[in-house]
Amino acid sequence: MATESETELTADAIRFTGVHKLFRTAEQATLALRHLTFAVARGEYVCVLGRSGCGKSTTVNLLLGLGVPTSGQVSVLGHDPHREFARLRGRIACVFQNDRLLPWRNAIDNVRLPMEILGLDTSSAEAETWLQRLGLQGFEYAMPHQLSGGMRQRVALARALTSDPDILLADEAFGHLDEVTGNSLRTQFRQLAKDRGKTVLHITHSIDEALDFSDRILVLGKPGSVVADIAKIRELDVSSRVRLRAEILQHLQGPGVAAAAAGEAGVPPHLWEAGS
Amino acid sequence: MAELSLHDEPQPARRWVPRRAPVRRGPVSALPLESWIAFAAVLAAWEIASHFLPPFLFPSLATVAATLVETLQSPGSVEAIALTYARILVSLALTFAIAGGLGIWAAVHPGVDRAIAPLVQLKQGVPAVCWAIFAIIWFKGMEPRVFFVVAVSTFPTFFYQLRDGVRGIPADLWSMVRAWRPSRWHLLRKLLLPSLVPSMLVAWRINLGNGARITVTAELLAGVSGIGHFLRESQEQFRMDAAIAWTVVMAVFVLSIDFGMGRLERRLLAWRQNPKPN
Repeated sequence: MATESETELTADAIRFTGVHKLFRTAEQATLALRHLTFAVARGEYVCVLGRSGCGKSTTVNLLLGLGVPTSGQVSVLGHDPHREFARLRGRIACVFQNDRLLPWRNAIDNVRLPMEILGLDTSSAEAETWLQRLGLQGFEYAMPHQLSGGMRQRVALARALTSDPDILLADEAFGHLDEVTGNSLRTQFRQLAKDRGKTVLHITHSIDEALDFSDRILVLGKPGSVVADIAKIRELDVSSRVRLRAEILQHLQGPGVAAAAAGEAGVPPHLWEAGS
Repeated sequence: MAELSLHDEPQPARRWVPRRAPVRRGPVSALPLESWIAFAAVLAAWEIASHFLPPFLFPSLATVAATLVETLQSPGSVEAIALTYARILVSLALTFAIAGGLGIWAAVHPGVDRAIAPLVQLKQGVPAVCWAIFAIIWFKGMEPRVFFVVAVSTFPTFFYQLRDGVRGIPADLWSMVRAWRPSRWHLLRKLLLPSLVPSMLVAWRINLGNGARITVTAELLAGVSGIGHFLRESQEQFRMDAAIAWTVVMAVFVLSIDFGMGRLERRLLAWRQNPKPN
C-alpha cells in the first residue's frame, strides 16, 4: 500500500480510471459517464470539450468530491476526492458557470469565504489584492446585485484563487459572458494559472476557447467518455488550426460515437442518453 | 504577468459606496390621511356612545386614559406587564430553538422529516384552546402551562419556515460552499444561517402576534398573574376602562416588537433592497 507521501508524489494531479456514473430516478436511469478514463499531469492546462449533456459538469462534481462514481476510480492529487474529502481542503477550487456569489456578502467578503472556511488569515490584504488584480479596485464593498455579470465572475475568480489551490477547475466559467469580457477573463485566468504553476481542467463547449488556451484537449462523447485526446496544440499555424478545429468538430458531431462507444462497453441502448 | 484591464466595466475613481436605501418613516407617521380619518371616526363614535350608554359598556376616552396612566403607575400592574412580556418572549425563544433546530434537521435528513412532519400536521388539527385545557390539567405551575401552550401553538410556523428555508437554498450555493470542504459548523454559519434570515424573520413576525394572544389567553383561563389575569379581573368587575387599558398595553407591546422586527429586517436584508447602480 502506498504511503501518504508516495500518494502525494504521483505525477498525475487528476486521474479518472474507468469511471461510470449512472443517475437513477424512480422513472429512469441516465448514464452520464461511460468508462471515462484520462489523466492530467501537474501544471498542465487541459480543456475538456463536449456537447451539452456529455457529463462535463458531472465530471466536475466528481472531482470536487460532491458525487460518487457508480464504478471506477477518481483520484485528485493521489486522493479519492469523496472518500478522503477533508484531505483536499484548500487544494482544489472551482470557478463555476454562474458566479455563485453569496448574495448577502459584499465582493470582498465573498472572496474571503474560502479563507474563513480554511482557517486562513482573513485580515491580510490577500482578498483585496486579488480583487485589484482582477480590475475590481473600488468595488470591494459592492454587493453582488450591484455588479455586472462580468464583474461578478471576476469576484468568483478571485474567490477561487485566493486560497492558492493546486488544482483549478473552470466549469464553462466564461461561456455566458460577452465576447470581450469573456476573452479578457479567459486570458487573465490562463495567465494567473500558468504563472503559479496550477493544474487546470477547463470545461468548455467552445472549440476556439480550447484551441486558444489549453496545452491539451480532451473531447468527450456522449455519454461522457474520451473520444479524442489532442496534445501539444499551442502555437498552431493557421492551416493546422483549421484542420484541428475540423477534426474536433468531427469528433463532437461524429455520428454513432455514443452508440458505438456504448455498444462496445455493453451499455444497453436505453442508457445512452446522458445528463450532466 | 500581463497587464490586466477591464473592457466593459467602468473604472471607478473613488471607493464604491452603495446607494442608500430610501429613508423609511415609522409606522405611525407612514399612515395615510385616510387611515387617520378612520381612526378619528372610531374614537369620535366611541366618545359619543359613552355619553349615551353606561360606562361599563362604553367608558369615556378620558376615563380610559386615566385608567391607563393609573395602571402604568401601579407597581403591581407593571410587574404583571413585565411578567407577560417575559413569558411571551422566553416561550417564543425556546420554541424557536427547538422547532427551528428540528426544522433544519428535517430539511437535511428526510427520515427526520418523515417522523416529525405528520405530528406537526396532526397538531394543526387541534384548536389552541384544547391545548390550554390540556396544559391546565397536566401542569400545576403557570410558567409551564404558558410555555406549553405557546410552544405547541407556534411550533409549526417555526418548523415549516426553517425547514422550507433550508430546502430553498439554491443547489448551486450548496455545492459552491461544500466544494471548499467546510466543517458542519462552517456550513451552518456561512451558508445555512444567513440563508435562513428571511425565513426566521417571517416566522418571528407571525409568531409574535400568535404568542402574545396565546399567552394572554392562557393567563386568562388559568393564571393568577400577568395581563390575562388582570383582564379577567376587569371582566369580573365589569371594568371596561381597565379591560381597554390592558388591551392597549398588549397591543403596544406587539406593535412595538413588530416595528422593531421591521427595522431589523430592513437592516439584515438590506442586500435585497438596495437598488442597482445606474
